[in-house]
Amino acid sequence: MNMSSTLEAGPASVDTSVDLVEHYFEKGWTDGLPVVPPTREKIDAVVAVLGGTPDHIECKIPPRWGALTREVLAINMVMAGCKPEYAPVVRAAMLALTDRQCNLNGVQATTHMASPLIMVNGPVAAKIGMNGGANAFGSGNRANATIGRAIRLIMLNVGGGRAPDLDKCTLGNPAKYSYAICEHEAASPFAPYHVEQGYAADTSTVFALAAEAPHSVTDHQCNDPEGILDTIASAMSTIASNTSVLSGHCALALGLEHARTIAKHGWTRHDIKSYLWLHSGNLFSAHSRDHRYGTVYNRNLPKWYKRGPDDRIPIVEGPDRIHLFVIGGDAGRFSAFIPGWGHMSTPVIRPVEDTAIGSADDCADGLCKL
Amino acid sequence: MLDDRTRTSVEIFDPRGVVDLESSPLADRKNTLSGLRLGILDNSKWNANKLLRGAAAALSDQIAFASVNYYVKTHGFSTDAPPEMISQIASENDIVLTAIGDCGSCCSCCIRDAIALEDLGLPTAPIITTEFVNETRLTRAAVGMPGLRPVVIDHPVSSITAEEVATRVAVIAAQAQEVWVGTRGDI
Repeated sequence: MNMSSTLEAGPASVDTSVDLVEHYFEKGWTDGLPVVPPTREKIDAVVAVLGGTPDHIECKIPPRWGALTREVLAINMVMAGCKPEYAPVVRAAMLALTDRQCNLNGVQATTHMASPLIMVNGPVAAKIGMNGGANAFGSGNRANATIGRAIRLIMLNVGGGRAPDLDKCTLGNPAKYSYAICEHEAASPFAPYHVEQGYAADTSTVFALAAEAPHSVTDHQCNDPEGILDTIASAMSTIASNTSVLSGHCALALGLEHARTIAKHGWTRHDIKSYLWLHSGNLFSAHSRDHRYGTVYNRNLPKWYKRGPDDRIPIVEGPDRIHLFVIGGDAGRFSAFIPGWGHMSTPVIRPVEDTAIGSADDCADGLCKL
Repeated sequence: MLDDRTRTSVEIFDPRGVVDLESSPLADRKNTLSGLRLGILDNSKWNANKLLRGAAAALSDQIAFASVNYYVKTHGFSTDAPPEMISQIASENDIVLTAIGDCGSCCSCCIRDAIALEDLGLPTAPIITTEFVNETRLTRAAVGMPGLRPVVIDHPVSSITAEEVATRVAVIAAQAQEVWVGTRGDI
């Protein structure tokens, strides 16, 4: 049996009297907000930016495993309200997410509230008008909002990740509408994230991390790196987050005021991440609840952690699993900690202009983890 | 070309993309379970080991297996078992029991592992909980093995008492045999 026949395509055209916004709602093809009804002209403009060949399959989106052709990618982008020039970023994000190590199947299906955080670095961010400055995670910027929305529409429509069927998320998360921003490279006192990862500054990249929503870190008191980072470490050191329970990767949106104070003392990205790693985490006795409920949780933490009651359980396996981005407006002594989903998903960074299919490497042994 | 005043219809664009998938049949069922090698695939989720070790003991009381072999998905209950692990299980066993699909990603991956093992010729009983019956139906269809039959136990699993584990173990022992011999009805 060929499963493609089970798709109910419906009529390819409707009478001009039909309200198209309502029609797309009725078909069940939206994220709950009105979509821009696609037109042939708008779709073709996006496909042209992607290199033509509308039937070319970029990747398949789990858990439904629908084929993301350039035309289908374009349809979802138009529906989201994207400009055609956003297309390389949306494509790169989808190729990152469908890289095997990212485990998009699990991210889509999980009861946890994880949603892919897409972080853009390099010149493309400014070129298409993305916002990594004031209110970067908030509303008001078309590129951020519609790139993130297009990614979610693809996950819903092509991936079939709709609740309560193939998306089993217990609570959801506002970031499941849109979660795409860029680093504020121009204002950052540090090298950009992608340069730290080995890319040239003039290369544009996308980074994808299955993540919770940002958790605010307030610190208006401390005027040195240790004080500010102790406050951030406090936000990281909870036994309630998936990162704490299941390790993996997490991210830090370091606000500009905090970043500038820390940089003034000569600290580097490496210093910041190492300090946070060393001074966050929890005692094993807190993780284990003093063995009140058995010991099965041990298998979800790395083998090499000591498990005495007073041993420290780090938040992640090492400093490089804290992904640091400088984000935000000029004013305000705020940062944000962003827990990940856990060791079940490894984040992926890839160049925007690299259109190759994601790595076929088997990541089961962890060798390809960032 | 028609202009806006004379156009009578407008094109609709389906954003879902095509699923191009050939569905696969189940592996051949077993006539008898005695003398077979039973593989147990534990996804490392909370209490999966208690359910599986309990079920293996209960089944072994009833059936003279040639061997019972235990495997653990140490790299995450929310990921598919790696292909080498699937191959190893297939080469070392005749039937498989795997648990536990008691969360969205765990259920998805349990079903996908079971289908991978069925594809290699091993009747496989994935254990899910009542809350994930519909996800199982959708996933087995999406992956192309609508005939797959799971063992279904009460939700939840991760926070239950030893007595509640024992009740679920009895259900597993009964339903798993039905899956392997082909008498298990659909969910």
